[in-house]
Amino acid sequence: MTEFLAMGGYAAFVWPAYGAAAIVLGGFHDQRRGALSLSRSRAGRAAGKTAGGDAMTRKQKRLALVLGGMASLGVAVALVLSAFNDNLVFFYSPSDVAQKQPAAGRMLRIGGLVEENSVAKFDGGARIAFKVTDGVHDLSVSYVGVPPSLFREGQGVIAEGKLDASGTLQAASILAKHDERYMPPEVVAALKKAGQWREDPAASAPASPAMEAQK
Amino acid sequence: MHRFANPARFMRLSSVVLPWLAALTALLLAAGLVLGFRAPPDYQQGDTVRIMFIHVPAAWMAMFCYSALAASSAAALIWRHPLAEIAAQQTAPLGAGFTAICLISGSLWGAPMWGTWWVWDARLTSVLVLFFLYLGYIALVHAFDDPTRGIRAASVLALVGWINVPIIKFSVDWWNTLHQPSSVMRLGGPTIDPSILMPLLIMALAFTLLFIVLLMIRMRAALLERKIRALRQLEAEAAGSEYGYGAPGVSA
Repeated sequence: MTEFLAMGGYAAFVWPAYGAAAIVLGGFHDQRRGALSLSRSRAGRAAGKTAGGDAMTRKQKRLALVLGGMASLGVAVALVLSAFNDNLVFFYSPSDVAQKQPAAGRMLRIGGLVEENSVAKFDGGARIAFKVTDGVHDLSVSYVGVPPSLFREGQGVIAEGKLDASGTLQAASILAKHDERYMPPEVVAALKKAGQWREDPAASAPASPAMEAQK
Repeated sequence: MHRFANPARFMRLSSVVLPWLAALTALLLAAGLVLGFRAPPDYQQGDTVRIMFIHVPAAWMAMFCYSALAASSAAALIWRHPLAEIAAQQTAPLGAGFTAICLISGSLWGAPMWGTWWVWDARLTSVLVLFFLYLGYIALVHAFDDPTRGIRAASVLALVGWINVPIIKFSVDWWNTLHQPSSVMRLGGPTIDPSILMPLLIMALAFTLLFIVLLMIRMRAALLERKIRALRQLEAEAAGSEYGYGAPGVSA
């Protein structure tokens, strides 16, 4: 299904073309029906009958028009969104980078977790270097400046910058990404004590087997 | 439903219900604020988690109001119901207000926690689009000399724009975003500790009631305004015929 929607990478062209054709053809149909009903009403008037002899009342017609319009709009938007899927992502994961091999010098955003024991400070803390991981691949990042207060090992992060020749991301900005959990510190302490605590569930859950394999 | 959708009946019913609802809203808002500021800080985000108590209810109301706007617009378009038209028209500025609260509080939350006031990720951008849809609706209502045509055009915009609501809701699941996924309305239950979840839900209820109270007040005002306009017109016509303008048979 996804492969079909992707249209061999030309989805952004194929689907809008079909969508435009459908909209224009739908318009033709409506015009023709308008002409038809006009001639029918004339014929009806000539025969001494009213034009309201259709099975649907005006209210039902309007209802059908609204529902039909909403449904076709929904399909059109779904197709457009799936076509532009790649441009709607805010960041790439290290696996995406490994797979797509973006050109050096292009601005891009990398998101993932700050790998444990990877943060190192240089030049008296002015520059930091760390690794971003999604559990499968990781990517080295270098950043000059002060990271946000939520930045720490095991925490979600998004780095924006350019890849240099060695494949390290020279970040121009660092954003901290937190997960959807909110709780008081005592609860976290209790969970950790009971061994029930998991780090960022979004990134650690599918990654653990690969992490083990890497070690 | 049509039984309650009669303007005269609405005026009578709302005048009885309104004071009680307003009192309940004030009570819940006060309780939510007190509980919100007494809730423990978050283990990571500290006291900034308190921004959630206005940010999340405002975001829910932004989507709820737009759905209400689209539903009333559909009723106005299909059944040509006068009360639905007024409900839609009076919902739009309230929804725009809630969306503005959501955007501003979210920006103020993002600056200390994410390290940025604004990013163009799918969640933030789709909510900004929602804000512009509200503004577009309000502008379109007043864009025509004939108010019925204006409302009809704006109703179509409201319906078309509704497609944005599921996009906002699922944007954090469909695409990589800086914004974190849903914490409350998700499969597997909320990921918020009860001590923080409780004030959030009370504030959400208070915001919902606040919307209903404000909408009732605005609709009552709009109905009265319409009545005054009609009376003025009658008066002017009566005065006109007194002086012999436009009355049939005077010229003879």
